[in-house]
Amino acid sequence: MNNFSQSIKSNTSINFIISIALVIVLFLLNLIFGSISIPLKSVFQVFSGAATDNIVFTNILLHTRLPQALVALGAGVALSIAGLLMQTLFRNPLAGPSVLGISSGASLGVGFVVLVAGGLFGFSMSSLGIVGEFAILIAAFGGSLGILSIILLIARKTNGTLSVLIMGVMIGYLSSSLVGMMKFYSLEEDVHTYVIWGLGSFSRLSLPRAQFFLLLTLIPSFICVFMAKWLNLLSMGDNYARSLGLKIERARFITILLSGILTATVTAFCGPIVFIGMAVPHMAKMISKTSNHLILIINTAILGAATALLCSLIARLPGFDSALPINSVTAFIGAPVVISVILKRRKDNLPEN
Amino acid sequence: MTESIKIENLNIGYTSSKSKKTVASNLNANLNKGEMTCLLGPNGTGKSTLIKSICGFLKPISGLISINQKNSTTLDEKDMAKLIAIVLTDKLTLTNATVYELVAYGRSPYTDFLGRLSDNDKQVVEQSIAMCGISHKKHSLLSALSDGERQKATIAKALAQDTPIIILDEPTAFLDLPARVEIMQLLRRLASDTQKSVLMSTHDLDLALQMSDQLWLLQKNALIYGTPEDLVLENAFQPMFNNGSIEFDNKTGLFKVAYNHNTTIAVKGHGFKYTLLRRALMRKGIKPVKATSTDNTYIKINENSDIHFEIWMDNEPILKTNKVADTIKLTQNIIPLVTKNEVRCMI
Repeated sequence: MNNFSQSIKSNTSINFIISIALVIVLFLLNLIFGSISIPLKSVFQVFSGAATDNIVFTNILLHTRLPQALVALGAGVALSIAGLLMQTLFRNPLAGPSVLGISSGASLGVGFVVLVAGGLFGFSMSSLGIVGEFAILIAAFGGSLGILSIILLIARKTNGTLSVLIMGVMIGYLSSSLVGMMKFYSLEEDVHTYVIWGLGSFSRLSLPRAQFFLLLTLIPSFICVFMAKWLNLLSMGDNYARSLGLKIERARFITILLSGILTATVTAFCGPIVFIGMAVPHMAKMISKTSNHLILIINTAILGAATALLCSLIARLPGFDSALPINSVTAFIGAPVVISVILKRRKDNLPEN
Repeated sequence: MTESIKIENLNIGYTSSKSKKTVASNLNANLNKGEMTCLLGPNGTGKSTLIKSICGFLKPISGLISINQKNSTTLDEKDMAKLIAIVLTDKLTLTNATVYELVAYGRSPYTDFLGRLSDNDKQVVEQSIAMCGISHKKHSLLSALSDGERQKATIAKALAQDTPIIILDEPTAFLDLPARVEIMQLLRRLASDTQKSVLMSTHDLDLALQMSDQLWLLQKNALIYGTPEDLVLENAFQPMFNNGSIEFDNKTGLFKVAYNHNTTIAVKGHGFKYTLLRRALMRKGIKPVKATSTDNTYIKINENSDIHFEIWMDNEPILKTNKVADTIKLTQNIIPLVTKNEVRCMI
């Protein structure tokens, strides 16, 4: 008997080690590959502070590739954990970070600043440079936190998780219709700016900002590990959770708050990144083979980092002149994962039905 | 003290800011330690509401629920989790969860903030699984279990919670008869072995009568409780079946379906074969009556022969058969004849 649980345990740690190794390899590949390849030796030279003869490599690494890899890492971890939290809270495999309407809120905020403000004051956001970027960041944060507080208010008032889910989806529709109206009356170049923002990108931040972003995403992600016990109980449904001593309202509030902060942060800095948050928890569940969220969260975080790094790498594969929009890559990887999970689940269930 | 739950003048229902909807009122009952109690009542009388109220999911409108001599409204989730464990009708759909993991979640009120199991927790989990007789399925996925096995796993989870009271909402609802009996025997054994109070709601009247120590009969404005036998003596079941389609069988002490009959047939004989024949006849609306010497049409039952049934008419056997079905068929055919004869006689 003990052998069995031990073998499960050692399986889990083997999984951890393999996936962490995968993250490191992908991180290095992100530094190496791009429009020009940088040899691994030079990468190590730059980071060990040793004198390098190639100033171009140093520039590319420190100004482009390292920040991009750090942002991908942070965004992958944050979105995947936010997605897992939502899937557990709503007990719905199709839930993701976007179900709360938070990324729609960010889009609304950005849409308002880019599309409306420009039209009102007679200038184009894209002409403003660094000030414009900062305004977009603030707008995205403002929009998503605004929606998050509405959702939290609803979660407090109602005692069902389903109504929160429906509200989130409805807010999403409302804001996309508002954005549609704004687009209709806006300057062409502003619409272009908005569309570019909406495609998502890991490469908008300089190195110091990327480090700040990493901190901003990893701290709440780490706090989520301590939610594992609550999430285990929530996944059994409200009544069972309550009967096992969980204060449902508080647990639900904090779950939504953490998931919301993670999503809002990533959306503000990178734009709405789709599919990672929905697909990665499924991969983690498939690999972990457990319902225990202590293991699930850690696996989700590691796999999230790996997936985002992989997407970022594919987007810049040699052969493309410029990087592909990150969202087209995430959907390309994410959709097959979700489809295979659904198909596998059906196959697993067949014998017992 | 022998009672773990005491209900006094309880009114239950749903309250919102605007309205109050009382489901059942004026309820009084006790739940005893070491006994299995079945909660019976027609659909819509509020069995689930009562269970939710006792578990603390619903606030009582008025009245008192004492759990181990403590007023339930003063207990928070954490206190309740150490007093009452529940098994609900909601199907547990935990992706990738094994039986062991589910039962381990039952230890949640005692584990640390990361939910890790101590050695003692692990021992309790193993014991609970063993007591429910599913040790061989310990590492199976919940999704791979049969309904009965899953129900046992959920009961093991409730056991692992180590509470003086276990409440189950229709734990036998989706099970076949052998599995139902097995689950109820398991609960009975748990109650007497561990001195826990077990309260389960059920629609299995017969099983509840035979297997529970106490019954709670929920009616619109009363909760009648007592041993099944006492309740039968008090005729307490009658209001439950006021449409007359179910009647109490005094011979067996169980309930049976009541049929209306519009004709009769004379029958000679008795015993087990008679019981079966009678049931088949009653289903067709024909009541068997004891044959007298004046009857010239009757069914004869042969006790010690393979030809179980004979139908006699005018001193001649018109059918000899070992099948109930054939007997019933011919009886249905000759009954209009018999009735006509009787009518002619009366004229």
